[in-house]
Amino acid sequence: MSDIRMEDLSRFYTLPDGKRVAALKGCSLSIRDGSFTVIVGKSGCGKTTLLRLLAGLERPDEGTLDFGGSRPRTGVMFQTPRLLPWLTVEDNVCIWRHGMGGSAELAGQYLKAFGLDSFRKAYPDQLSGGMAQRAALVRTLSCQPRLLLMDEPFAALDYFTREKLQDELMAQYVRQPMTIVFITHDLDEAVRLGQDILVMHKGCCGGRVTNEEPYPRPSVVGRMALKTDILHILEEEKETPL
Amino acid sequence: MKRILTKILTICALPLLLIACWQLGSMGHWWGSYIVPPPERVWSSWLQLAASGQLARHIGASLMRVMTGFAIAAALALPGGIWLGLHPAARRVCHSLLEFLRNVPPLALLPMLILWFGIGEASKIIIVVLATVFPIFLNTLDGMSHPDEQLLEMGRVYGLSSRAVFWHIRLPQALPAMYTGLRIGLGYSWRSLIGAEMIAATAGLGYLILDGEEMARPDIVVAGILTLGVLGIAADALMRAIGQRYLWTERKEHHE
Repeated sequence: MSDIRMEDLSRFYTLPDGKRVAALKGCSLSIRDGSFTVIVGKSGCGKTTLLRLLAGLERPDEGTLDFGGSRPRTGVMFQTPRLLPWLTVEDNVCIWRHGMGGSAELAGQYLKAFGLDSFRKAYPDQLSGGMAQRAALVRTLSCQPRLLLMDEPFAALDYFTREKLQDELMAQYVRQPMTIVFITHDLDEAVRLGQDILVMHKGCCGGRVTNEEPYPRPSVVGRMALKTDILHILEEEKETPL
Repeated sequence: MKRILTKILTICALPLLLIACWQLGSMGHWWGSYIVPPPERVWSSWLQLAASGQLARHIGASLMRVMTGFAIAAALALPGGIWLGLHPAARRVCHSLLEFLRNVPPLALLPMLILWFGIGEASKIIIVVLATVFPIFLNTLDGMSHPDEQLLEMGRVYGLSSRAVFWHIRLPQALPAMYTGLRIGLGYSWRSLIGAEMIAATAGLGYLILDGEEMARPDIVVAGILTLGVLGIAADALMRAIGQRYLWTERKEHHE
């Protein structure tokens, strides 16, 4: 898989009153192959729209999106687990078999690795929020994606569960070669997880910050300099007239 | 043990209270015994009917009509509701016709049904089918027409085919609505019996009630009504047991 390139990408939505608003407006950026890219920005800046375009869930109205060939095998993790309540954890985790094909054994290995082995036969309503999101993470990883898209996957979790899942994600990223695009509005999460941190503002990519620190990264280390850089970009963008 | 007793008491408390009020009213002559026959007379008539084998014959005839009508209605309504639920354009085309049919009471069709199908079993079963088909159909349609967009999106992300989306997402999600439709439909089939058995019947609980009315035997009428109600409860209990065994929403309630 080569780098993902976006050129002048725009996406508009029509509001019920007929007004047309731009979620993305001439957005150009590239995502390095094999990188852990975090997209950070305020609510409504176009992060989720960008991820939905990357996932193929929506089409751009203008501009080009180039994967350097065919779309890679893609896994998407949403803010909510989106587990099927009528299936057991095991069957939920393997759901991709009905579309992408592949072995259920692999899902079993991931369930074990992520501490969900004893919950194989449980139903989603019998899991805590953290465990349900972990099952969603296992579902996404076990389909062995080359491109992993994550839309604020840990935003609804408590601090401790979020930290644990961040650790597990970093460990998995080190083990399994893939490109990760992770969306968050949490600067701490962005600087902890991201190698490339793209700052979005009003539908455009406002700047890029790089974090070379090797994985796994401890959570308590203050990455104030990086956070200051990101805030600086956001401040500059605020002052730039559209 | 205590839990079971509490459960039985919760279920039986209100019916027992009503029977006590009924008994009290009859003993105090608050109403004439012709208007509301006393419970002991109803009970004795019921025992006589049961001992003579008449009750079993009536129940058998009604049960056959209800089950046949219900099965035919389900066989029509479930696939019909699923298909229209999956095809919004067809749904729009059929909307006015369905609304028209839904609002016509089955009994209004009685003269035409007798004309078309005679006074045999067919007309009786068709009345049950007409009363039963719409609750099942409309609930199925509703369940299929409102899929969870987030789950469909998840299916798209993992490349699920339309067939896989149907079997793994849309159908399981619609099952609770279909099940509700079946339960309501089953109740409606019992309710439609009186109408169905108005057509030259010689057996059936509806016939028993109508015969009791003609013979000026309100005790038989009430005995028939109570039997009908109890059978309806039993049929619903069976449906609930099936739901608790196989349906994901009922399973959840069961666990709680």
